[in-house]
Amino acid sequence: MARRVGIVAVAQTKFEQKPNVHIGELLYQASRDVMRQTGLEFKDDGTGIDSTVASGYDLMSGPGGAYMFLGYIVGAWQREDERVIEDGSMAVYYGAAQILSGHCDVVLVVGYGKETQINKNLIETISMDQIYQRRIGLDYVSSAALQAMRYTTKYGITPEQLAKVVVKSRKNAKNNPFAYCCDDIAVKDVLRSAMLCDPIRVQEAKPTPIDGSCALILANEEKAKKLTNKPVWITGMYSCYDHHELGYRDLADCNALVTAARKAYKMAGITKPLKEFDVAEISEHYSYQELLWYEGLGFCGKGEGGKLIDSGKTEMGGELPVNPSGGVLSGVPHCVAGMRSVVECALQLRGEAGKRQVQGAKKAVAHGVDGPAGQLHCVITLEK
Amino acid sequence: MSERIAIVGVGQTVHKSKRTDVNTAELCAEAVEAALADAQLTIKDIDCVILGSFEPADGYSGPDKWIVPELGCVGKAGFEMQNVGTTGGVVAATGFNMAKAGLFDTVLCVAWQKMDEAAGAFGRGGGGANEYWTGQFPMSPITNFARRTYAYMTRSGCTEEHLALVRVKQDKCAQRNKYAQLKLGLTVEKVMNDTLLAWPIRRLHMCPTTAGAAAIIVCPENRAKKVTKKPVWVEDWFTCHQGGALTMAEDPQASTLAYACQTIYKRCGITNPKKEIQAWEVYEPASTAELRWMEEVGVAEDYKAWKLFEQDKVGIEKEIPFNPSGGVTATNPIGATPVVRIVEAALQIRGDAEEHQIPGNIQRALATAYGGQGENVVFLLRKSL
Amino acid sequence: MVLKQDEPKDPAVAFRYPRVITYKHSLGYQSKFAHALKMGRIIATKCPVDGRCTIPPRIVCPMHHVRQTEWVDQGQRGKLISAFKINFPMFDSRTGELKFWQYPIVAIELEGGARMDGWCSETDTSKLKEGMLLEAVWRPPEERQGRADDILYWKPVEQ
Repeated sequence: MARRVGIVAVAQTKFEQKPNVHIGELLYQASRDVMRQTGLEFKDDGTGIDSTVASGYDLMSGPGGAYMFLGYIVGAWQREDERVIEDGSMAVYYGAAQILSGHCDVVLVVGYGKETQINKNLIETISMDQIYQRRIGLDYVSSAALQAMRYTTKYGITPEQLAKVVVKSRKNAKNNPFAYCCDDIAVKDVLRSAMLCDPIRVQEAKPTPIDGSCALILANEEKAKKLTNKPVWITGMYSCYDHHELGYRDLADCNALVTAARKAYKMAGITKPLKEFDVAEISEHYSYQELLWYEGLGFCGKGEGGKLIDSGKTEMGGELPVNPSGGVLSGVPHCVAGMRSVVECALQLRGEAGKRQVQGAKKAVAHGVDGPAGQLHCVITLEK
Repeated sequence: MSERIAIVGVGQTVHKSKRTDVNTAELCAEAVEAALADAQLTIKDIDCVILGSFEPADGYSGPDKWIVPELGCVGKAGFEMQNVGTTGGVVAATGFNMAKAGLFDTVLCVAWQKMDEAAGAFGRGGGGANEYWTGQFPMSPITNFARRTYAYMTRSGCTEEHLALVRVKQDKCAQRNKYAQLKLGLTVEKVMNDTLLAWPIRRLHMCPTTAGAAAIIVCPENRAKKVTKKPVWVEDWFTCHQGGALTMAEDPQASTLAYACQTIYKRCGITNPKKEIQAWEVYEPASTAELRWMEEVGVAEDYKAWKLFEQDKVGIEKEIPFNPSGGVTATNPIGATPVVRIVEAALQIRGDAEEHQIPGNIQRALATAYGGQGENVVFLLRKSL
Repeated sequence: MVLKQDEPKDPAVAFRYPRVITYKHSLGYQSKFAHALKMGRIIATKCPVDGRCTIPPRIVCPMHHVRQTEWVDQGQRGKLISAFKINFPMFDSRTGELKFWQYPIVAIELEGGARMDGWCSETDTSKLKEGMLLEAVWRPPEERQGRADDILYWKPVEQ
């Protein structure tokens, strides 16, 4: 990329159930945190934050244009304020595009999710196409189950390998003060838990409902260097769509992720992701997804996701630690997940990740996913 | 990269009150195919697709997931944007940013609205406001504009007849636009005797419900010059929201339009908008708002715009060609309307607006999007840089 | 405005899909306002920079972006700013039914400076003049729920 976009500050709220807290409080907390870190305010003369990009689904926050009453909290008063109706990683993508285009110099990116106020599965059903898949009653859990069944059957992924993903997530989450589910769950506990949607077990699905929000400030190269002495550069980014109808693709493949990763790596000059990246934060809403996304991101060959987790290379201390923060399986709301991946990678590269720090991390990859069975992926690569 | 960008293709559907003959994806595809045909490209040439629609009015959540594959965009980059009324504006602004950033060569921006599928979508009233307070009142865009217009009438001294003159002018323009929905042959008498919804807003003053879609294709400079001989350059844009900062009770005339226009004029060195901009496509959910907004964009003196209508100075061949397409009062597919405004502005610059073409050399055109309680996105398009 | 809709006749052309989505909104900082309504008081948040009071209460001042923690009692009376009647049916958010609204909606500026909406008992809008003094008439305390219609209506104060 000719110009560079730097992340100058990141913040997140603790992810937990907050039924008595208004969404505005969460947004305020996260956005104020990053503003305090950089000392920036909302200004219209180019000396402060020029624009805000938010990520959130309308029907998730309330009927009828619900975000409208929240915009002012993140500075929409007579200012650029746009909303991406996708996973948070795409809001980071768009925020960076605003800077690369020269339209803005400093962008505040926020993501919020308040799952305690809605029935998430119902709204996911409504996001399916209305003629076929909605009438069957498919939602994201059942779509994921179909994909999990196909993937594990085709490549012989064992239930133990899937359970290892959960074990790793929860164990890593113990080092993350913002995570919700953190404990020393064992493989046999995962395999004993009730079946949620065959073959996904209750402990293999991301905990829900969870509330939380996170925020980042992006700036162009010149301002990033002035605002912080530890800017994290975005080196590559791409989002890609796949088929919506589950029957149109082989669910054991994730071609959209392969394309997104390939294009993002090309922008960043990465050819051997497993070797070149020091840390990865990927969005695994269900345990099988971590293994499938390993393949899509190029960490291993097709069908070898199970072997990769068995090898221990993706554990803390391994060749490429994946999800040192505990990932989405530790409890992250919808729409925040992908943005939080970027936030965690930025913390790692700044050396501010506390107990979950991967020592000497220089290059990281963040990933977000949306849509049924991973229809839409976004890959963002970062560098110190 | 900060390259200059241009719109190389535009397309819209013929807007009707109901399109029960197509499903939503087909509606979008009609607009996309029109835009591709206009640019003489195929869907294979597109590398990024940005979509948007006012979802709650149609009862979806994230419909881009099933519309994108139907458009033939599997394997391409993109995402969906939304911001209630200004949705189409935000979709276009996003497309402009993605093209200008040097990330993509050919960006497709699509916006649509079906409206005939969900009943009582605005059921909670308010049409987008504080989820606790404003939704408890039976308020809607109609009442918002009733308040707005009442405040304008009190301050300016104009009468209901002036409001009717505006509506008649819109209708005359719409009759010359083959894509517009409402072509009613209105007279001042018909408007002034129409059903009263909330004084002074009558049914004819408000926009209709429309099923329609619109699409534009944006390219950076080098590619734009290869694709078409008549690129429409995007000079500047500004998304000026207010995010619930003011309700209609607090400021009945709340509007960021004046501020947004002033910002753009300053950035582009425009000192005399009336002379330097030759075509205006302003989003007005109620035709009565045109009076105040003509003043806010700078073609009329404060609280005196109604005199221009008395003097018959507003129209396609007149001194001030405001909304030559008939405007939003003739056609309003909510999510798509801002993109329709851009399409119409682009057609005016290219000289392709057929019967409703403003005569003369159109160097610059202004298109706006409106939403919520006075939010705006303003676009400035140009013939040659 | 809610228009009449045709019911789909041929399911091979169009089909019905009724769904009820329930939201459990947390009021958060706004619950102070709702509790005050239950007790028959109207309070609003105040901006520490310019003293502007706002209803509905806002967590942050949108213009100055500072946290608003001060609440000010707005009194029981206000000046009329504007009034309008709605001549088409709209939904009642308490019952969900579509109905015609008899009372005009008014915008009032309260004694404390905040502006809010309400209903007015005077149905003849020609008698409602800008600047008129109006007074709140409340529901009986046991019926109040912390909602907008806890103030049943505003009535003109006899001069």
